[in-house]
Amino acid sequence: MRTLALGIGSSLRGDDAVGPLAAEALAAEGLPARAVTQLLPEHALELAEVERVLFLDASREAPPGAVTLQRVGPVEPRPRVSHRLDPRSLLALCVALHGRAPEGLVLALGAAQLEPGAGLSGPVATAWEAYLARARALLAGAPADGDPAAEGTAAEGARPG
Amino acid sequence: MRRIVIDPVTRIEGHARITLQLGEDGRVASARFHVEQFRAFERIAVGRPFHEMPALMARTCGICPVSHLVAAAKAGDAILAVEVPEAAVRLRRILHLAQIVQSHALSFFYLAAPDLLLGMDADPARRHVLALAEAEPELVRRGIGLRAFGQEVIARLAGRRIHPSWVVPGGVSSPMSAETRDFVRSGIPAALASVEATLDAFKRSLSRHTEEIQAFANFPSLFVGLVAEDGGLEHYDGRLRVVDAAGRIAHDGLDPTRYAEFLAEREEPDSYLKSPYWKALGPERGLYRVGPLARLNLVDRCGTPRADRELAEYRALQRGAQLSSFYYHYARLVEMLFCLERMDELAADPRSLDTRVLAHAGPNRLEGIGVAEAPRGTLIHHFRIDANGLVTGVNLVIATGHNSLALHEGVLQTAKRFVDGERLQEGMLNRVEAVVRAFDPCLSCATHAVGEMPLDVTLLSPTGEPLHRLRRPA
Repeated sequence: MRTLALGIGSSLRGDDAVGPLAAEALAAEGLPARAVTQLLPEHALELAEVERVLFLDASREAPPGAVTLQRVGPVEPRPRVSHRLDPRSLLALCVALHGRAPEGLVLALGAAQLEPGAGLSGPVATAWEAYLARARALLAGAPADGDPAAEGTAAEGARPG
Repeated sequence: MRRIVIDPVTRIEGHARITLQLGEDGRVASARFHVEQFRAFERIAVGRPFHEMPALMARTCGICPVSHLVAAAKAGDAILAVEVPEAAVRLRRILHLAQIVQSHALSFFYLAAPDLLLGMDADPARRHVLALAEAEPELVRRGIGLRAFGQEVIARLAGRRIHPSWVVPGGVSSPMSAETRDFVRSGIPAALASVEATLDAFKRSLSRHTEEIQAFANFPSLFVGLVAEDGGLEHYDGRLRVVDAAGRIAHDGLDPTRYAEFLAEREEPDSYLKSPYWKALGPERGLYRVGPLARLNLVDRCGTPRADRELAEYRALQRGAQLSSFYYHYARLVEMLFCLERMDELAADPRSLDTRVLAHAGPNRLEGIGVAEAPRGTLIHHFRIDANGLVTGVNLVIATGHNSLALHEGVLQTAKRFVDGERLQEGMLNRVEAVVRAFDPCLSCATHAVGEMPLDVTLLSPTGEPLHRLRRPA
């Protein structure tokens, strides 16, 4: 399975650095991952080449240090969009341009602090290795279904209407 | 009288609000374009070493960081009082042209094309790049490809797509590899084909926009920008030229580092966007425009074959200067052709691979001014330092700022033409937003605002009570 991880976030805002730092760590291991500040239409070109995309991100909804996995599908956003996209709208753009989108998974790590200049919080640092291990497994093609963290969130993903 | 507020303005860079005041007849009587965010880069820089300025100033903007990088480095060159090696100038030019390609691609394909190709009155919920991709996938593929190409050239030359720091006072920090040269050259043919196909589609669409062409900030004004020594299109260096509404040269060969002699700035009571004007004519008559529309009005020629062919066709649309700001879109496409052709010329020259790319010196002057043509127009960075090389004063004159007075006038003209307060429809207000988008304002740059630029339009009653507000999230 061809896979790609996009680590989303700002390295300057505390736990928001989770995505880019994880992407850089995985890329250093030779895995297909890279850090991005935000998702852009250009990324649809890369998504066309893979069967699974893993969005690595910090989460304000999850408890600090909790690892969550959410399946996302191509859904056109309700509000107007400009050049910055969320995972669902990026997948929808991929469908519009290429007729298909890869399987989309958001692997998130619950954030405790997102202030500019802050480092990684204690809960995030504690969960770091487990988070990376999950990312490695998913990049290697491990099934997302059946993953306890994905339960209850795997039904999303209607095609844009 | 009533008032309409559009808040926020969407599909632009930064955050703005528009207030339309209606008269007793329900027609627009006055309009204001407010920019409400503030960043104060001029203050942040004070006390920092001058050689940090290019990397720090690149943080002003995520769309045109290279222009800030280049203008700040040129100001640093002036402080060092050195001659920048020829190869470094060539590499700076390639980098800057690549950025104009990606910035113009973003403006045209992501922000403006939904209006132009899906229609000004299309369902606002589906008037965006995603819906455009469903309707015109090939066009969006071209746009994405152009932006990606420009970004990748920047990444390969300067190490990163956004906020690179490769351009430094005295030159650039490393030479161009043959591999990067080959990457640049190999991508040019497809990029040129994409722009030419888009130009063909855009020109075919013009007949659907005759009303917008007539009413989108279409008025006499001066046009200001840098021009090459031979009168050609120039984005990195050159002298200032000014043409009037008839296309006649009013001033030529002006030294851009003496900008303070020609330009003055007016502060607005309801906006953080300053309003420069041509000093000799005063704030009421000194309105001028900068950017792609102005640049094509200023030059004798572009200076590359394909762009010159398109320029000839573009100029056949009207005698004298092209006055409608709707044509900013057209001018952007012509400029993209020029940028790609010039990038190829520069990359093909073996001198661009010279490894001598940096002149070393300490500060030899206490003041430096750097000027470049950013995607949106003339960009001026002015630094003063103390004897230790620490910055004591900064003045940034930003492209969007130059266009501030024209934006006010353009919003009023468009609102008067399209907005009927008695029978208000979303498409009317979208046209008011669309005239703003034609200028491609970057308020993050111009006010030194955080984030994207949504639009907020408010309609006020004759007595000033808000009657209608169109507000959208960023």
